[in-house]
Amino acid sequence: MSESVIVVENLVKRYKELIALDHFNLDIKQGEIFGLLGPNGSGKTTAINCILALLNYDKGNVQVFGEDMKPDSYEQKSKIGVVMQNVAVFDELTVYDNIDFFCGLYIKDKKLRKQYVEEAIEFVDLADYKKFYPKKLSGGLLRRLNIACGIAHKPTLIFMDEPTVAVDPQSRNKILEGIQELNRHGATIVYTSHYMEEVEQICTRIAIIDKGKNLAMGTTDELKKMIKKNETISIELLDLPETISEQIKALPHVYDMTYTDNLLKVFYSGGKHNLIRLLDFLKQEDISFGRVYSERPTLNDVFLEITGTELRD
Amino acid sequence: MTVFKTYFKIAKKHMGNFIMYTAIFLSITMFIAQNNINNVESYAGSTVRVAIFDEDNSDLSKGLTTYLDMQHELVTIDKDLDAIRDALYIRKAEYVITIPQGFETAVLESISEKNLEVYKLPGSVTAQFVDLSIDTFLSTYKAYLAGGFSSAQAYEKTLQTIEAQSVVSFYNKESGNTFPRIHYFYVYIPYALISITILCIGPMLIGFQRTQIKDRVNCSKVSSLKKNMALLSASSLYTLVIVLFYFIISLILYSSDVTADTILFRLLNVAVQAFVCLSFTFLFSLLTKKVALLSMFSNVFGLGSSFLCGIFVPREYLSDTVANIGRFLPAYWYVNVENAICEFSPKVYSTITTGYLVQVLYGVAVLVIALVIGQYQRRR
Repeated sequence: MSESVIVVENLVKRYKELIALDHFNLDIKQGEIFGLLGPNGSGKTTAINCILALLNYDKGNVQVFGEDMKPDSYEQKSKIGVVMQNVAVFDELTVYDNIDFFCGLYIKDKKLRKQYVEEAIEFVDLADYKKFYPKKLSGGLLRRLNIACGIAHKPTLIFMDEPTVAVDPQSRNKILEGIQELNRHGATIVYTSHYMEEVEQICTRIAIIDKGKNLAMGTTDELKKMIKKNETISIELLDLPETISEQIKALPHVYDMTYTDNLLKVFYSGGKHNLIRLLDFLKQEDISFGRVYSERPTLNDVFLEITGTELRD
Repeated sequence: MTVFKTYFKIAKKHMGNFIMYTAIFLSITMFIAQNNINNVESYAGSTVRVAIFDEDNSDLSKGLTTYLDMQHELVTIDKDLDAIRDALYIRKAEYVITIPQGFETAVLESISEKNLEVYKLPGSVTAQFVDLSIDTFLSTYKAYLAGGFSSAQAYEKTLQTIEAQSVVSFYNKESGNTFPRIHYFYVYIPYALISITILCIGPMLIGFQRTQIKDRVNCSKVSSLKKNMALLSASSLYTLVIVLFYFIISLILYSSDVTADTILFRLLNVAVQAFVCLSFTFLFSLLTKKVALLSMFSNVFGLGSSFLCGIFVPREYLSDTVANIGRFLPAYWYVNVENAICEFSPKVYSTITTGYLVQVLYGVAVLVIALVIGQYQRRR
């Protein structure tokens, strides 16, 4: 088992009457891409800011690299990289100078810094824009610059707070690939997003957060196994007699079904070959059907079942 | 060092702003210095070019002519309507009077208030002025006649009465304070320094205090105190450049007023005041994240200090209450030192030292407050 890089215990953060973090717990291991998944306002950024000692909190304990994290924990901070939710760069500095400045906060050696800056530029594919000022960059390029500023000094722990917000699909894919590459090079990554597809795609473990609480934590498969739904089969039908409906409900592993607008939805809690079994049954009953879909549960289903609301709400 | 170097990279991008504000405030400073030294030293009555045709040739008409000659400039023109019009058109004469025959008799017998025939420029203020002069003369003359004086006595008394004049003198001239032009240049510098430091350095400091940038720096191994000290050092160097620029300009423009024993005191005074301005700028940059608000700070602090401390209005004209309020502002002590330098002698050493000391204490106090706020702000 890898050692813990971040341990958060019973963290409570209040903004007057609002409880932003409610006895929040985390245990992030070295080498993970750990996803914090939750809707906007769920407490993801607050959690990160508390871990980074940027925010005071009311109760709890935060340890990073095995030691308490405080505003003056400079030894720990020297190994951390941060990619903020909002682009944090100087408008007056070029792409190169911006990366150089943020890298310079950690790396004093001029030659080494130059090498790191060049590597960061290469990494985010901004070599053609080195002398550009941020105002001349598109949203996607700006996000890439923001990432380069956060990772240029080669940190071993990187916080990425919604780095793909308002980014075009092409840039988003580049960013996600880059994050996986950083992880392959040994960095532990804490990744927050409200895009479940991204989290599912890159994170090795995920914590689902809502209203400041850590509702569930595990790998994607572990989270999906936590819920009842295992498979959803949707079939277009012109008509569905009442007797047939009852018989479908009685099929193995079916725990629910709906039929609205000529679309039959059958929900399975487990089992194998559910689709073949259902289609055979319909043929046997001489019921003609149109298009057929089979869906595995998503993280949104996990979120929906745990909280009763959609992740995208 | 990274913060320090980056500050100057950003300053390079703000160079346009710096040049613009420095040029504007330098021009105003020079204008004020010039304006103050060229101030009028005495009052003189305004005169109007008056042409008189005396057809009455009486004592009164001669008296009136003599009186108008004393008050205005008499000119000679041809007694011809076209010539009069031409004279008025080309402003050879601005007021033409014909004193008709029987004028004195009419006045003595109060037949007519005034039967003078007058040509004047329509809507002319100067013509009103001559009207007033004639009215004053005649009404005074008639008042003496009504008092039982003879025509000759009334004329004598009238001239004596009208000749009585108010004496207008200048406050500082009266008190013996004559300042060289360089003094007015230096007196105005605090306003320029406050404005330039807040408007040029402030936006750069705010750039470093923006929440996202500040958070990113606070996540690094550079402490908040180290960052603020680096910003302060860079800003001090920047301010020093402004001080030296003003100093060199003063040496060039007012070389005749420069004396070896006072110029270094002046330089030190400006440097100390610049330190105070920088401290305030540093504080303001921590209190706001909006560059637009800096302009408000600059106006309130700059104009307030200038009006209350004797920069825009000489100290002698300020009421005791205003001067006492001004004492609470650092610019007051700057002006104190500058005034003392003008009367340079061993007697004013203590005034100069006190002025420096109070300003330094102001600067240090504001700076300490700013650094404490900076430390407090590192964690939200």
